[in-house]
Amino acid sequence: MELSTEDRIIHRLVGAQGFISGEEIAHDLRISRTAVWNHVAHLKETGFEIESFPHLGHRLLTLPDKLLPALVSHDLKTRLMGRSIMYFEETTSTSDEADRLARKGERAGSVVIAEKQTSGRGRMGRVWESPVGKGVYLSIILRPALPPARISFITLSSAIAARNAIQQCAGLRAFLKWPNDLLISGKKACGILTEIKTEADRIDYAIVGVGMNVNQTLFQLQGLPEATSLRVETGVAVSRLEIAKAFLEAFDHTYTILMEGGYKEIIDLWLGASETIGRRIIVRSLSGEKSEGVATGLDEDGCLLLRLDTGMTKRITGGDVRIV
Amino acid sequence: MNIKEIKEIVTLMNENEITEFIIEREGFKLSIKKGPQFERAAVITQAIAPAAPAIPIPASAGQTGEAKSEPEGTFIVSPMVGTFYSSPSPDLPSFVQVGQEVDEETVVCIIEAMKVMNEIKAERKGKILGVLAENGEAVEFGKKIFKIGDPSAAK
Repeated sequence: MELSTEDRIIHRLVGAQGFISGEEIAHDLRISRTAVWNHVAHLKETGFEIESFPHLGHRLLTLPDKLLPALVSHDLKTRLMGRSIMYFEETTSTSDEADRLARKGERAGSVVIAEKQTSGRGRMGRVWESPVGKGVYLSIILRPALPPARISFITLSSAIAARNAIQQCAGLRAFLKWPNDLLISGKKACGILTEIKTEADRIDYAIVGVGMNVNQTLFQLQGLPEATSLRVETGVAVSRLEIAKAFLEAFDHTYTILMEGGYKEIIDLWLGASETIGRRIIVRSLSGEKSEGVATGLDEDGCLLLRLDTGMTKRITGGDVRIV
Repeated sequence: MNIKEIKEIVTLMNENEITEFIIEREGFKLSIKKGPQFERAAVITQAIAPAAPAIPIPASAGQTGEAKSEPEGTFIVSPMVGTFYSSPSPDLPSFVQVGQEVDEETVVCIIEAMKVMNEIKAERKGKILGVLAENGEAVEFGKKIFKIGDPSAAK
């Protein structure tokens, strides 16, 4: 991604083991030492804790708890995700911003991140609580060469990635509930909503919106009995930056598998992370129709197979799944 | 007799307000009728002798009144298997109503498949003539979900 001068200074500070002289940064970036000094002063104002000594240079002590593009992009091991990163202190919804950008032709892999969403979206007009600085709220623009009938694999791939990122960074056991709810101790810690725009028979673009509860306290989750956060589960604060990066890296991986036609592999990965298969579940459709039975697997389209008590197998394409 | 000659006959009929014209030649009969149900002269040709070449109906002579019954509607079909939603959320009004004029960019519904929300656009200018799916209904790939006709202004 294209970095500003300040972003490049951040990368130098983050990458340095200890002190780095102003002269070295100035030389590398081909700017004056005064300019370096001014940028470092500005970084200190924005929450970077940096100590500066005349003969030693600058040393980064702590990062601000912000998902700044320069921090997310630093040493990000992805091929596609995060090629460019747009950052907002506050927005209505990162998916609104991503949609605006995609309509104007923004390329695949671009990511929109916000510290706070004033109307984070769930399904059917539901709200995703997005308090400032507590969660990871991001949306990714994709232009998948998939037939619309296969689009549900985006859902499965992103869910696998979120689960892997949380296990890796927080050391928590997380499970997937079909199709993409991420449960820790039976409660929801992450929601993913994908919106696509199709033109005739092809997908123009897809926006994958992710909301993760990271550092919300039990108190802040009051009134959300089915929700939890990584902090509540681990008892300690978890780095949002690490989670965000790990998610982008994991999704980059599963999305690559998908784009290479690895539908079967995605299904296998999903099954390995699932808490749905083999369980008795109730599926409620929007029209209120309930189906109860045992989840037996996924079909080749990613739809859930439900063995009803009559012995018949029903193919579930949507609705709310409850594990009983 | 060629198309040019038929066109000339139709023009003459229109100019002189002649409503019927029949000509018979060897192995060939041409009958042109114009009536109140036709906006313009309609041409009906009929070959009597099997050897006679088929005469195409000249396009400029207009369409026959009988060929068109009710105004043709086209359909918006579902691009995927999923759940049909007529409104963005249960407590909000439908995206579109019957009789509403739409254009290419108008969102008419959402189809959801496994938490992928697909906003379906009309993709043409027109008027919604019918909603063919119920809110919350499971729809198949290719199912007709809206009937859409020409915009009112074009009539």
